[in-house]
Amino acid sequence: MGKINVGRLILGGVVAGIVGDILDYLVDGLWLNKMWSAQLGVWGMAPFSMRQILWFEFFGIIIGLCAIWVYAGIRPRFGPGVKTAIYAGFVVWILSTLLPNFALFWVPHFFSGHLVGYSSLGGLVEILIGTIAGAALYKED
Amino acid sequence: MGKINLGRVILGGIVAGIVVDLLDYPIDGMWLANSWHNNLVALGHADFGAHQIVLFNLLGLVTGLLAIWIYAAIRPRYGPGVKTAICAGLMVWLVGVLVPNVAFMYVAGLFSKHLTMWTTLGGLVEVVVGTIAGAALYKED
Repeated sequence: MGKINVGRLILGGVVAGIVGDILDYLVDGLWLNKMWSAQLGVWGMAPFSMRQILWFEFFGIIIGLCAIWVYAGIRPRFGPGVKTAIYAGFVVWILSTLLPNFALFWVPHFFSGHLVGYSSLGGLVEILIGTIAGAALYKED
Repeated sequence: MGKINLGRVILGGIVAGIVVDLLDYPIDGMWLANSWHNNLVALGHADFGAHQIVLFNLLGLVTGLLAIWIYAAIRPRYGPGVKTAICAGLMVWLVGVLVPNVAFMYVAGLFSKHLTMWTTLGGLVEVVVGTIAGAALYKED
């Protein structure tokens, strides 16, 4: 079994993260922006600052790198291609978005089910499309 | 390449999840209990109830199942054994604990740096040990 191509993993991972971040801007930064601000206000907190948003974008890149590592790791099992990228993106979405949103936001009743649901579904689109885009750049030959 | 043994993923995943939940009790349920209480009070929030703790434990089981699915999926790449289980566990911790905790607990400003750091480091032990335990039960022959 060949080794993982680390250079391509980094390239694909950064692209996956950037695509995810751009889509996240549309979902959380524009569409859900008022909802986030209103619900942060309930806890006496200001809307997210530019510094916090930059951190979230940085974490988006880390998630992209992890998604492409999972893609590269499972490629010998499932073969290269979109189907494998969807598997990788889906498992990373459950771990990085669905479970934490559910555990940290919804179960303790910090944020409404509406916001958690929409943000999580938006995250699914972001991570799946990002992983497919990044996986398209990953090569081992 | 053989197919994933789904029955063994479920068996190993449930065991991994139970180990995660068992280890989480002394860490978050006992050692960090005061810190969780103080942070929740600072937000004007009640302590977690029994219903919420049951949900957290269910999420631990889902985490265990995903960890063993990743272990099974990357096995053709890295081979069976503890090293591969540690790789899978580290990936699950990075994506499912480290990034969400730092982003949602600390950067979002909901919880203290101290609590975020210790619960995240505790999560490393929980997830890696749980994944090793569950992976020991995964077989394809």
